[in-house]
Amino acid sequence: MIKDKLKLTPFYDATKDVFKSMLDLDISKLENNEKLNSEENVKVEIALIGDLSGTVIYNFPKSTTLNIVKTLSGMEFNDLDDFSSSMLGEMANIISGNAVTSLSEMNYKCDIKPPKITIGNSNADKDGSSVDMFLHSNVGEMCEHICLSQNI
Amino acid sequence: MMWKDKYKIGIPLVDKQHKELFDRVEKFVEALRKDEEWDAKLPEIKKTLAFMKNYVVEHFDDEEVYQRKIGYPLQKEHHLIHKDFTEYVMQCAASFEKEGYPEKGVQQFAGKLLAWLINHVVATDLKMSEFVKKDGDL
Repeated sequence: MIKDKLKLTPFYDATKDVFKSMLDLDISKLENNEKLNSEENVKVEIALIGDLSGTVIYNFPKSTTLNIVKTLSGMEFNDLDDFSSSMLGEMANIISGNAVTSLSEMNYKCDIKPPKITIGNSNADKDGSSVDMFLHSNVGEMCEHICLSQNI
Repeated sequence: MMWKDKYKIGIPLVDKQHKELFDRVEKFVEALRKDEEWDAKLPEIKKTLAFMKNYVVEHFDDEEVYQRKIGYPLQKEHHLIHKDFTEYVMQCAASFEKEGYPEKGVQQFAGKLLAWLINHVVATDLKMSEFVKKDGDL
């Protein structure tokens, strides 16, 4: 199971770049965040196949999701729905695609599967074999639950 | 307003078409969010989708003609991104027509469309603008 910083960095860097280019926002890492365990959220699961395989689960709490959707659409949204969750699904897809491009530059050839998007209160299971990356920006908090194995 | 000046990449024809696309997507999302029954929204949704189908193709073609004219080195990669997204739009439009424009699918399509479009403009198209600026054509 990969906890190697070098292979996780592409996901952090890709998130940082996408937040900057799409939302004009900087992100920073957090130690933990209780909000992620209590609030309704959009969960986007993206499977990786290839030299590294497993899943990356992006957890966007409701408040973060609605702030992102408002920033991008210029419209107020009060609830999580198919439109807002799909927007976040595509953002996670873009972040993962960019991370996989960076991994290929490190000689790890991988591909991503289409995102699986759910709205609910569940969080990714913590089983000690994955890494949770808690992130903060002016739109709120989010978490990336990274669980990858190396196949080469 | 959905369109932001920061989306301008400095190529007048492309900026004009991008603004038109954003304006149409905005109308599309507004139509989706109207406080009325789904069936009442359908005429506007069908109209906007029909426009988008044609305009996305027209815009991508114009952009690629421009890229060939300026000898843009990433034209092939850019073309593949356009091709993939055009196929996605066409597939969605065909399945919506077949399935009677289901609300869930159309809402999901609109969310993805907006996020994809913003990222495409601020990341992929911006590279073209940077090339033009570097090459002194802008």
